[in-house]
Amino acid sequence: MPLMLRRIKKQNWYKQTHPWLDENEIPADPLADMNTSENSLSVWYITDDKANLSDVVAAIAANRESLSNLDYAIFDSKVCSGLGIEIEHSPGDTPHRNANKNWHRDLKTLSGNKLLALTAAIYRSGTRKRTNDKEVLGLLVAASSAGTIPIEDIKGDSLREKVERKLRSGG
Amino acid sequence: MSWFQCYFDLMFGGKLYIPCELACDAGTAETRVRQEPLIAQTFTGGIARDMTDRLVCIYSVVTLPSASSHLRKPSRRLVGDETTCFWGRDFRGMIGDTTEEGEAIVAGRTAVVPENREHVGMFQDYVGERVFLSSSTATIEDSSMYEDLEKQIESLFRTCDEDYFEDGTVSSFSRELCAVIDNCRNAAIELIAYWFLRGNIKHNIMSEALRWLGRIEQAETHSYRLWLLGKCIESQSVIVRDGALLGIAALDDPHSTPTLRSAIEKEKCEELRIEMQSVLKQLEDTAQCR
Repeated sequence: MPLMLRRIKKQNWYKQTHPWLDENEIPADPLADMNTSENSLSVWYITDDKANLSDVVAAIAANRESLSNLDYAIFDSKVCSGLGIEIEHSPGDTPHRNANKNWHRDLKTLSGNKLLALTAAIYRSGTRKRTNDKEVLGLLVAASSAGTIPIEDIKGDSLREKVERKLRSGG
Repeated sequence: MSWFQCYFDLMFGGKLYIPCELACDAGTAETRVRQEPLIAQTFTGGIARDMTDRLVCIYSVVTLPSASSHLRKPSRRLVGDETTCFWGRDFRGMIGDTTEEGEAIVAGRTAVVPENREHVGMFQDYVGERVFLSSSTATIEDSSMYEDLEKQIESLFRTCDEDYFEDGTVSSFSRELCAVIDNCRNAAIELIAYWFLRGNIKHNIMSEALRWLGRIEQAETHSYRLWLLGKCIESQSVIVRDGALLGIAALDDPHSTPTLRSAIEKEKCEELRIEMQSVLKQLEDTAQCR
């Protein structure tokens, strides 16, 4: 079953014991990473074998101003169908053209309740991962070398300079 | 006498953490040191930097556990015995220098940043000169400049109204934080440390600041930032610990390894512990490559 990736901030998702939280509730902080636009949520399609995961991470990273860790949650797309959430293939907007064309998705027609249910499902059963600064830089360098992300298209000036410096030093 | 907890700060070659306590008697020339040596066999005179109490290392002589082949003859003689040190001396030496008595020397500063006005008066009366904060290359000797910096740092943390910092985005907060560190170097880090360890700063703001502290490329403040990140990885807040971990990962200095190992043992949040182990692996790989 295909997977979905949503960019998050891991610090909002760490499971902690809160005495005020009921057993069937999740804390509110994860919702900060689930901002919608026109009732749609941007996600990325990840193949079952995660073969495109590095490309998607590089695509997201290349679209940012500065070098930073990239945290994300991966969840089964069945979660969406189970909640009646429509998945639409839509073009992405990153420097990685192939990722934009093939792997970007929008979760459409989200009600507040569905968004909360989706967040809860990701919180309970999703996998949360982190790619540190160093690894992100490595992915960008690899993508630039491979030509999948043209270096001149990397968004942030300081980020682009770091990639250039790394390429000059031999990666 | 009042006892102040402090650590030993090396002017050259990073930091040597020897928890110790210093008592200063303003009425005499005497300073007593009470300490638990971690590395040194004896600790002679001097005090060390303590970020919490804002006391800064004076000077001292430390005898290392065993003679090292790199020890060489000193260029000048030290003064002091095991229980006293002399304020106002600005001894600078290189690690590995020895006195004529064969003691290994480490360097320290002579500036004191007291905790409160009473301490200022006490130290200034004894030293007979103005108390100031100095760093290795930039000295803020004008107390009004220091006060301005103090206000700037406080304002930076107190007035930041951003609730959500997006990874990979440069916010006005991070821009100003990096600018003040770029301009004021270790003096800025000291004040940041003071606010972190003493002030009531929102955890998400601290976490964001810690991430950026690790990313700054500035050799002069490297050791200081490393130290502060190591302190904050012990925070009660999981958000602050996460920010400190990211800062440690970005700094990518294997000197953080012992601190991180200790943090892993104590970490109760399983997900964060896994991230710590991942960063530990990164640091170990970095150490092997050097």
